[in-house]
Amino acid sequence: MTEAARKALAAALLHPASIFAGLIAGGFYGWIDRGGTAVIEPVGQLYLRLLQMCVIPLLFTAVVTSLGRLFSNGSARRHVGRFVALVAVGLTLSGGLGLAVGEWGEPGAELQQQARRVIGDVVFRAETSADAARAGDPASIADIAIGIVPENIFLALSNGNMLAILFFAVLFGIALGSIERERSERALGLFESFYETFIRIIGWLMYVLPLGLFCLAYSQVSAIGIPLLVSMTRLVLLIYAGCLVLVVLSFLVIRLRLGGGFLRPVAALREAAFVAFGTSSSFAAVPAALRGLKNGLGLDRNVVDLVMPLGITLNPPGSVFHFAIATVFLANLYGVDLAAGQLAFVLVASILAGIASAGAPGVAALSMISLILVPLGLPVEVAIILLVAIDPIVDPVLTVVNVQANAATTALLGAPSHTLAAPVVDET
Amino acid sequence: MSRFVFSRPLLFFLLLLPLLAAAAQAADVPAIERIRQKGVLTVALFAEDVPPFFYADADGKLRGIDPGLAGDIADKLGVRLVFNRAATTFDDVIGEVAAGRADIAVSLLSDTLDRAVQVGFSRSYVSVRQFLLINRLELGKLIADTDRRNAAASVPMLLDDPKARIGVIGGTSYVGFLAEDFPRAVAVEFDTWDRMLAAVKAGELTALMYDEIEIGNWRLADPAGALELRSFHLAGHLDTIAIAVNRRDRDLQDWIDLYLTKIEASGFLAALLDTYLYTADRMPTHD
Repeated sequence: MTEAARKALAAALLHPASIFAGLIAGGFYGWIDRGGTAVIEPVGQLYLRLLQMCVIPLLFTAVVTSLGRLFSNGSARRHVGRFVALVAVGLTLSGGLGLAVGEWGEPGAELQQQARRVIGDVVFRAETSADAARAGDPASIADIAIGIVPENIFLALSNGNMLAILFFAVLFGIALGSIERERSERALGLFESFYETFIRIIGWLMYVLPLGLFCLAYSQVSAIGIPLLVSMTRLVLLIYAGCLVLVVLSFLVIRLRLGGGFLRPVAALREAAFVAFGTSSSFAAVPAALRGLKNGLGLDRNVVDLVMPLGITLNPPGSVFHFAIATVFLANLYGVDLAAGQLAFVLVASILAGIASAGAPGVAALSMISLILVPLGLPVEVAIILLVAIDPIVDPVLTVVNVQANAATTALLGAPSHTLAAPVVDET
Repeated sequence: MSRFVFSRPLLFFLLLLPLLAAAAQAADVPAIERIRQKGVLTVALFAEDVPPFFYADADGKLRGIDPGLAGDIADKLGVRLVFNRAATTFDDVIGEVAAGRADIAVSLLSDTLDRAVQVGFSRSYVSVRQFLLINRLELGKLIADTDRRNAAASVPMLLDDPKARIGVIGGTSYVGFLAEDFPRAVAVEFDTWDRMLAAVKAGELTALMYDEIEIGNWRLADPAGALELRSFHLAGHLDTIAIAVNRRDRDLQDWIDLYLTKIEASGFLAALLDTYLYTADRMPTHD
């Protein structure tokens, strides 16, 4: 193959049109084939594992190097306070939107008898299957808080306990940034090399993204139970509408902060959005988002490498929105009126549950809704069964929100590199 | 007064003697012989239908596991089958047999120790599992009120609480099961299943306790019901079902035990249970 042909092929594979085509074709084929082609799902799983393989070391090295650099040049402190404030504002906004959309759209209220029958049947079957007993175990805030500190960092790394890994990485980065510069420099250089290596591996994987998304979209679509989906249409549509609002809001924030056309952030972050939508894994989308923020939008590298990994672990506006609207749905389903005080509680509890769920995988993340529902006396077991059932259809768009909102947070904190050339000015 | 004059009570007793002897002889006639002489086997059956154990089909004919067994027993004895459906509670079904108004009872009867004082029981021909049907919102309130330390408590532990009201049908073995399993909960007795179900739906009860038969019937009749109510299998609790026989009729009880052993071996019992109980649409839970 000539050099020119190789370049043309690479450009074609990385082109957004082929990525989009892979996603749509996979979804469409999954819809008509209903899981009939057994080979597609394992290939999709293989691709997802390849993407996730590098995520933990990538996040670790990104946080350590960026914190180390920011601390050794003294510009870290001003980011911390703003990061916390932005996360608080963002999560409150998305939780509030979830409640507002829920109160306005009233999902779950006045369901048709047929829909109640379908939902009742799904709940009954799920509860009589073997693994139902565990679903209702309520999570406790204290246990989650204790779990943030790893007992053994290698255990946390091998279990993929993201909150614990992040806690350790932050401490490690700060410590590394505060020892003598000439000693820390070598370690930082080493971590940077590792970081670049992981980014390179991910870069290779992007060439097969269209195929990977085809396989993943195929298995996601065939996992959807159509009758249940029809019964819960209103909730699903409202979730999609709310997510659309949040994503557009994120792009607007980036555009307002960085200037340029509205399409500039869209162009820079579309790859991350496709990966997030296709894989339903915000961590898998991090490398693409890092690339888009640094190369496409020209944000400060240290800020991007710190804020994006932190945000993706600690700041899940999509999950908070999801928990808030799902709580309203369940209250409507049981004809329970939530008073103003209870709505305020739901907002706060959704934020806590969202943060707690960010570090937990799959169904365990959804079960964090018990933090909201148990004090309200609403049946957690039904909520989890129904959320698990609609998860394949709503998780992709919620993941896009989680990724894009954190890209917006990063943009707000990391103005383009040239404006950060003299950070000391702000300190004095 | 002559020594040979009988006192009146004594005379009365002597006149009665032949009658008493006849009665004693009647009791000594083996039950199977007595039934064959009559040509009729009288089987006590609870007054209301409880599908799939006993219910009238579209033509008004009694069908189900228990009529199937009773009919086969009558055939094997070579007599006609007559049902006695006077009893309006399950305990009354036992009463019909104890009082001799029925030869046996094949009527989804739990062979509890209390009942075995009144009547004899055959070996058990089927076991049904005990279930709770819980109002989800009431359980949610109970969990919300529970101390945080006990939040991970199992459902049965949560329900053994003075704030929990649990329904049972009066005159069933479940009155005893409830007192045994949930001593701290408030027991509420009902006379019909429909009224009890309505109460748990309305939130007047936290839960009701009954067998998988009625819970399965509820599920078939109301597929949307699982949204409001949660069925919960009480693991380790088997409700063994047996045929009741009058305590005096030892020969009949032995004969029925032998009969049940034989139909178990021949596959007739399994076929009967498969036809009515273990059908796909009843969807027995898998543990």
